[in-house]
Amino acid sequence: MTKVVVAGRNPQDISDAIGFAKIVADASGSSLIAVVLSGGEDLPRAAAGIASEAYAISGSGHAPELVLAALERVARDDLYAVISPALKDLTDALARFSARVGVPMLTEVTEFVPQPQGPTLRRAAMAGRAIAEYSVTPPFAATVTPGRFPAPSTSGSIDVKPLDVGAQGPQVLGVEPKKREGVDISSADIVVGVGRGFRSKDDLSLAFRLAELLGGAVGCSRPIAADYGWLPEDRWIGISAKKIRPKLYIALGISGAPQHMSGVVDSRLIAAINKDKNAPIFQYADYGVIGDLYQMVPALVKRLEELRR
Amino acid sequence: MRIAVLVKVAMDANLMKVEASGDVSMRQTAMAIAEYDRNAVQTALDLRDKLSGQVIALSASTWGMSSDRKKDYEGALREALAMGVDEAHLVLDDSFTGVPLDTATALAALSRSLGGFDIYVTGEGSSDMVSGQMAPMLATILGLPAFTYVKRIEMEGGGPIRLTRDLEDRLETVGASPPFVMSVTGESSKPKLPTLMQIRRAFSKPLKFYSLADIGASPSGRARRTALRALVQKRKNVYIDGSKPDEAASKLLAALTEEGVVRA
Repeated sequence: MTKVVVAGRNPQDISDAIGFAKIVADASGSSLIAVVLSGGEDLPRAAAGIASEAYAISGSGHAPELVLAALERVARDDLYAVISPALKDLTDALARFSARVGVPMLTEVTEFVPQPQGPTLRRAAMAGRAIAEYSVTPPFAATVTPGRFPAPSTSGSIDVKPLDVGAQGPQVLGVEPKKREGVDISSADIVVGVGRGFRSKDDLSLAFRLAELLGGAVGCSRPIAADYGWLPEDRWIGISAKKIRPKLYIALGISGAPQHMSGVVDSRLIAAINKDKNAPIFQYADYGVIGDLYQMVPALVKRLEELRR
Repeated sequence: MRIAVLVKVAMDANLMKVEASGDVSMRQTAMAIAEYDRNAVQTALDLRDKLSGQVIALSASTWGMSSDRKKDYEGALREALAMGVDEAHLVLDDSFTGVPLDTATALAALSRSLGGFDIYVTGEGSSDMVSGQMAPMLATILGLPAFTYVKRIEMEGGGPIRLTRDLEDRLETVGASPPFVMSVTGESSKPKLPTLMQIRRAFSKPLKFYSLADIGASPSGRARRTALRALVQKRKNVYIDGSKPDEAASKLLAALTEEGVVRA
């Protein structure tokens, strides 16, 4: 019997990828094994009744190397697939594993189609404007966007075994947790995105007022979070940050760089306000207003206030 | 110090052209250095400033079309040379599968054939495919440590280089001593535009081409890209003139209400 291994930093990561792992395991008649780096005591809540084996890694050092060492122990023989959520340390770990054992890897897979000669896998490409299709001979490694494949419900219990891998990787010299507001823009129905068209941090209040009237949340493009630091990174949308799929995304002063657009292309509807009629954002927009956000947003706020009165 | 920078010649998603078949046109879509690989080039040049030595660009024709688009691959690498890279080496071969492991295997073979390097730098992911696998794969194949998503690079005295990795929930600092491989984020450096003089000088710098056979590499055959289909344009692309803001605001809100995403 072949194996599908789902690996995470913690039980939440397992919940975020086990939906896809189960699809692959069922299609290939494989058993499912869950491996976490920490929080092994809570692993049953993510894996019981779905996985047949569960492991909690013990060891010291650096996350990608620890996960790699664990995969080399549990995923070497009879492997069909290794799967993780598309998070940085796990993409890193799976890529090392793939190169170590010589199996192909695809990130942020959106579809798995079983075929007699080996599965077809699909994923987004070109900032969400294209779908790439691959023919794969198992075993393979894959990551999936967290939560894209809903986790099946758990049942019963599962015995979590320790997996000691010793010391792995470089010593970590320092860790600085990121400032968070605790907002989860990925669960909002409406997201108002702010970009470089805003001239100052104070002006962002325009976007917050619009979001408030619409019952939405405020997100941003890379410069706002990473370069200017006007908003914390949990509001940053793009390929190296959050991916969102709201009912409505309103882009304010956002040019439409591929790096940003790949985080929003799954939105049901996209509206954009930009004064540059040639901005790429308009290619992606259902409704594009060619105008100055400094005039348009107050006008929208005024109109909404009238409607809400 | 011998520094390698891995540069992908990527397709520009915003200038994507589509064939009549519905496939993305690899023949016509504009290509350029992937955005974060520009940061990698700048990081490599900054390292050379501090450590002295050479920066060598390594690349592979992952989009194939090696005869039709040789000029475009070359043009992108000339740009890296104009930025200050000393020489460039490109594996130009139509047998690339579009699978990152095959690309990493080829780049590892290319770097071995050039005698290996002390530091390898690449972008955290390419703008067209964003696979994010190249640095950890190359490091593993070459038996070197890998440091991914590096945002800050600090050097003090002769000790290890301090690399700060930018992860979802934290910044993590590790010490690295060459040889190693790292991938850098878009915040790691500010790529400088080449001057006219630099652009001119780039044409006299070495740029060499190889086939996979030349470097003794071949695709594993375990996976290949079979299609790259453009998504059918499903956006409505309705334009609203914003020169009269109040009118435009009413129009936009009416449309969004009609769509059922905003309540009136």
